[in-house]
Amino acid sequence: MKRLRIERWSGQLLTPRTRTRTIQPCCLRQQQQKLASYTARSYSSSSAAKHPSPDDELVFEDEGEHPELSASDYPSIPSYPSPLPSAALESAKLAALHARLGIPKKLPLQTMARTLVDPSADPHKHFNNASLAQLGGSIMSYHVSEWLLCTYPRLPMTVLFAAQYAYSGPKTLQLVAREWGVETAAAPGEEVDPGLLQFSKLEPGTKYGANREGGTVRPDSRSYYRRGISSRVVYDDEFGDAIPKLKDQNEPLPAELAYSNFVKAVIGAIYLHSGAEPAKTFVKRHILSRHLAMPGLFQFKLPVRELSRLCNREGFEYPVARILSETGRLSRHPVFVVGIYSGKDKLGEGSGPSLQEAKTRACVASLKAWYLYSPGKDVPVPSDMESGKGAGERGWEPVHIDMGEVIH
Amino acid sequence: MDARLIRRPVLNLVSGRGQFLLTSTTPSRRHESSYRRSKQRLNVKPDSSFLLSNESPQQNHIIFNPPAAAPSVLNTPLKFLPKEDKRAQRLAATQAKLTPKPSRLPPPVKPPQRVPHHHLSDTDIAEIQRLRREEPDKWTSLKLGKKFNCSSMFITICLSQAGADHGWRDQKKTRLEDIKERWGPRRRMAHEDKLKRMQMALRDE
Repeated sequence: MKRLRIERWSGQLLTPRTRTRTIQPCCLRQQQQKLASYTARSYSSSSAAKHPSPDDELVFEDEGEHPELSASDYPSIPSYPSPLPSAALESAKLAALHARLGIPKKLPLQTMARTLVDPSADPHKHFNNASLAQLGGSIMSYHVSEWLLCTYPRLPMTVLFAAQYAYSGPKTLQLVAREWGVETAAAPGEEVDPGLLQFSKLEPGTKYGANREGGTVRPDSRSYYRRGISSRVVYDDEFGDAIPKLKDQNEPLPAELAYSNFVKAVIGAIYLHSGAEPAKTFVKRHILSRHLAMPGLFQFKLPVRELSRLCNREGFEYPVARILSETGRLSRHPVFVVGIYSGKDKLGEGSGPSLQEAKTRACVASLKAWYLYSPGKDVPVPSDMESGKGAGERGWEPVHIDMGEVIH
Repeated sequence: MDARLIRRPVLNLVSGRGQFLLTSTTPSRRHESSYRRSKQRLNVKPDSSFLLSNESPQQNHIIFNPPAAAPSVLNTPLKFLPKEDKRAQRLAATQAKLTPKPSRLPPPVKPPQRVPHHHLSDTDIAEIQRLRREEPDKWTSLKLGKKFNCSSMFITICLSQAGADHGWRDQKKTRLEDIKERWGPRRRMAHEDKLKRMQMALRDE
């Protein structure tokens, strides 16, 4: 027989209501609760009120030590879907991860363990990372998007979505978490080391969300409706992807989503325990410090026309393609270097095996030069003003806000 | 911009900083069978800009002579800098000192077309549409443009507004399909490669 003291479990994370109640059936899956009638009774607060004897606080884990119950009506041993919070203090993996990431000491190991439990492993909201991931995800996408918008103020919306995805999408967050040295547990359970990422793994060959019903939160759910970029800004998530309406939390999920939820949950936990500034520093160090080849995200459809519309809009002279140099015009492999001039200023140049291709490349280079304008590396972002040092020294300098991409 | 989202493999785009160490360790290969031969081959005369001349400074100095390369798109041209950017004035001063604007610009790829604008009336446009409707094979856009002294682009706009151009377009398409049917494997492959190259140019690869 063993006595569990729920009061000692990660006191900060349990709500006051949970803490006042002696024992709650919160860790158990619902079907187990239904099955385990005896245990449920001993767990429930109503029965505890009727019989305030200390026996009601006990959880019997050994079947043999209960003489008054026969083997048939005694339920199977209740096991928790995720490791107990007390186990977090004994896990070497978890302590090493906490130290390796340089997370502030204020964040306890119990919370760190909670960030590693996915809702698909433990459906109870007080013991999984769903709420932390929601919070951390919003903080991260806020910092990434404000940095992108201030550093590259002219990016078209599609490139902005792609850049956001490349910085904070699930694939990148999986890379980040793997670089941190986080491994997955084979299957979730009570006996798992709390330093492992616990989630229900998707069976190989099955598609995630294939049999999900309910559609998306978009009002225009019909397949033939046009899904323009402006509507993505309003209705869709930060990557321009549709948000599903109904989502089963217990559904098995691919590893990259579980890893990304974990990274988001860590950021959320840092925010809750140490504040906004450490969370921002963490995002800067682990997410924004990565190098993204921004010029590789562009793809144009009609660059020549787009450039002429741009020059018209900005009041520049009409762009003219001029041959800067060429070699082997009549040979099998000619090379032309074409520059785009607006008046006497060169906007960009490109080379190619034909005049047409060289001109296209030059137009693409000029458009990229326009869109990739950056005021500098360390542009002040709005969240700098929230902390004391940024706000105190000098006031807010307005950042460059562009008119928007060229419509042609 | 293309109005669809571009998803490239993230591994190529996002990289940790440590990755560059790996790329620099590719082994160099010697193609000559003896050390003397490869040494001889590499013993080329330096470019004249690296040699000392009478104008070069007498003390020790640093030679900054980068190899010819396409300019980076991350260097924004002066014209594209916004007015409130503090770098604009300094850059303008530096550029005026170092690279004065050329008096003669390089030759244009295509000589600029000098066609008058807004000189055709409604009757002329109706005439254009009638000619095309009656003899589409004879009156191509180019010929119509020459006859009415306007650009072929304007002719295309007139004909697309008339709504009578669909049959002609389909005919042209089928004729092109017939021609493509007769192509052999080499020409077909060359055509496909050309299309791929154009797509690569749009992606700037």
